[in-house]
Amino acid sequence: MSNEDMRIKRVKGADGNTKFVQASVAPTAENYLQSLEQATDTAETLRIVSFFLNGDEFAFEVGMAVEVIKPRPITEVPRVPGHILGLLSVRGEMVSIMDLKTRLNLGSESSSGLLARILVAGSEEERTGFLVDRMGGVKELRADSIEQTNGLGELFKGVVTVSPESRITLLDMEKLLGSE
Amino acid sequence: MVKKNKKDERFKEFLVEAEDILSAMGRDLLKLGKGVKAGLIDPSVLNSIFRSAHTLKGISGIYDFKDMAVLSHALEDTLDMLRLDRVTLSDELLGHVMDAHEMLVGIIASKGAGDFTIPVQELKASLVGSCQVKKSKDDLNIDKKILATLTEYEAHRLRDNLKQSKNILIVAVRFPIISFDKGYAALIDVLKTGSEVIATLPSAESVADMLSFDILIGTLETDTGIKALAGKIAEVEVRRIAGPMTESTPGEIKGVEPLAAPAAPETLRRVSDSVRVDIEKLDNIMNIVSELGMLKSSVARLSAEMKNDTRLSFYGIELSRIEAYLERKFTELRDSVLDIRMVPIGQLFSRFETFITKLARETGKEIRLETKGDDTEIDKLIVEELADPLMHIIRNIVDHALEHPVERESAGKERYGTIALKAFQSGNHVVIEVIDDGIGIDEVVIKEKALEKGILSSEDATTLTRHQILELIFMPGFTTRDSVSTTSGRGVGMDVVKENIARLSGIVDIETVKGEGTKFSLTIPITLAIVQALIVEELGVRYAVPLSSVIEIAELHSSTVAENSEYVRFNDRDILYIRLGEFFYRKETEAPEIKETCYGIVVGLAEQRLCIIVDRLLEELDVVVKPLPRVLRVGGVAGAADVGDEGTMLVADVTGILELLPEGRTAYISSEEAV
Repeated sequence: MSNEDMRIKRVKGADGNTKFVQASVAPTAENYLQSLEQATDTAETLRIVSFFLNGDEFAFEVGMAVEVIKPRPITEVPRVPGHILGLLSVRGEMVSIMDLKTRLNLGSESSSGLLARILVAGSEEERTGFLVDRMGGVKELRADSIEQTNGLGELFKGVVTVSPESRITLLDMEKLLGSE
Repeated sequence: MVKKNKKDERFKEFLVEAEDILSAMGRDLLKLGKGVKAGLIDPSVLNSIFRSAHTLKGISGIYDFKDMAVLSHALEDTLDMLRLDRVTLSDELLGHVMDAHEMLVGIIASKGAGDFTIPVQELKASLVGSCQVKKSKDDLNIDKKILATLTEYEAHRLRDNLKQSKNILIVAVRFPIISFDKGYAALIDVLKTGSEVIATLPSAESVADMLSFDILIGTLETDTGIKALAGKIAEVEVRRIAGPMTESTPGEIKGVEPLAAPAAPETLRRVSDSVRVDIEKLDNIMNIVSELGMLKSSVARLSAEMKNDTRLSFYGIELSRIEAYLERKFTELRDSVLDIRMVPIGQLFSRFETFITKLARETGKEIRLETKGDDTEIDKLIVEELADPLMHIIRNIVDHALEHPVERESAGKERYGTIALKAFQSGNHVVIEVIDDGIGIDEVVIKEKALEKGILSSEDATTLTRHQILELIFMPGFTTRDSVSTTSGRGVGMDVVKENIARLSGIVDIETVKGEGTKFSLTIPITLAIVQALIVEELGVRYAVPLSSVIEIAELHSSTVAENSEYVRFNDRDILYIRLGEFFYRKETEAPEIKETCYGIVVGLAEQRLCIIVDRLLEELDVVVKPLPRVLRVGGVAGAADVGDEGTMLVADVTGILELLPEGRTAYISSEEAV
């Protein structure tokens, strides 16, 4: 199954009819299956949405995410902090767009290219779009697998080691949204 | 995303309802206060206040507002005794009742967050403490069977009517079941003019399709007179059950002064046909309207293209005809939605009556409120935003500007000070004036105090214009008082006024004459929901400039904009100018260079003028200005608007731009000194 096919999931509804449900964030086939496996686990789990910045994987709780959009021309606003790129109208609502790489001091080059996406997150009252290099997917983690690492900075919650080659850094969204 | 919590929504409804009840109660209390002064207590007003307290108690119980439940219960008990005439309405008791109303308003304003337990208990004790019980009355000389069906209040009204030597009549009437409500209402209306309806009692004589009532009234009329009057509406029988019979011939029924509205009959039907709508729902409709507007312009573009294509021109012409019709209907739709949002400003003005009465009581001053232009309409949301600034202004006037009655008399003024609230429409703006006849603002004192508080430096003090000195009262922390009073003097308030009005894209102006009084003028846009905007282009970026603040537009030549001058010659006047690109300075752009031909847009509010220079003028559009996320809220930007295919553009906030002008530049035109 390709990535595109996973966008629409076929779900058996309560009335027995098959429904098509569009996932808000497209998971990859691999981690979708992975998440199904882990769902049977009884340990406390955490669903996250992950994305890449300069080749490193970052993530936050899936509950904070609203949708993913392709980058469009952003309207600049004068006299705002450097990591705020401006605003976009997302479904009629004005959303501020944050350059996540600049915000996390990961270099000043804004994410661009075909895979770059804007991940919209936040509360119903106020949403922020985060510009990222590319999306990862929705994953399920055991809550106790999060390592509290000192010295990461206040915008981070901890690190999860998935395999020797792959680590995911969890962002503290409340701090990130509150600090804009 | 997250569905709105049902409970939250119901809680909001509760707050709205409680506010409505409290504002009605406030109005009644005011009437009652006036009545007490005149020595005449209107029983229907007292009863209406009682009902408000009763309803409040009921709804606060449902929503577990404990402080409010306790207080409204105590208030209900007190008012019950008052309306039954068991206790005397003393000035002290009236004061406590008004305090209770104010505290209830406070509890609602805190949305359940504040803890009022202690003040509520204290107030409850004062309410009970100031009730002086009257001796009970002699019993009535009326049929015990009728008395038994009356409530205690109705019995009290009956006694009161007898005491006034009125006739007590029973009007027996029957209506067909299908139309009884209309007939009944009409009959009560007729009876109310000149009589008091004490009670409506269902009659045992009702048959299958007819309903019978016995209406108990107290009147100066005779039974024959009432029969003739009521007979015009329905088939009635009238009999007298008590009271002195006065000689009167039928046909002489006229010219009886109507009593003040008697207690309305109990009914579950709502009197008003209006619907209460959450303003968010209207905002939502407004958004849809604006999207429709964009679709409309797409249709217009398409029809223009088709007209130019020889093969399709026939369809193009047809389509443009339809588009013109669509345009008309669209405008109607937009105007009707805007109209729904509009409320008369009198709603706001009337809230200040109780407020001023209370302040007058606290300060020992005599104050009269005058209002004018009550039916001037303004956006509901703006009305709410105006409440606090006006309150702060009035508070300051009462505390600082109005003199005590004795001082006023010795200055040759009337004993009572007058505060006038006036509203009138001026183009797309509403001007609200708060005028007092107090002592006026003394610039010398303002300057001294500002120096003392460190708000003003001594070098600046010498160069300030009169207008700039007056503006100092809006600085945070400014106060002319050395001690803090209960009403004002904390140096908080007037800065809130300026801030709130600026947030509404409005402006505050002061005119003052020493010894004669002060006028505050607030100039506010009628609505913020949809604005007509001029779309301009500057350095390749499009912006929307609200037309409501545009005064004139002209094509300029680069030579007119003299180098090294801050002013541009405009119709024989020098007006300060700024390049829009200079204001919306962007990181990567260099210092903007003025093109050979550019456009000057003169904007202004009140007496301030500024010429904004842009590269191109594009079109005029209706735009819905949407608020920006917190992080993007910067001065000079009112919000952003979606403009169809053109994408999103920033909407300039003229007030904000005027405020943010670089140091030393002032946009006041030269006539300012003459004010």
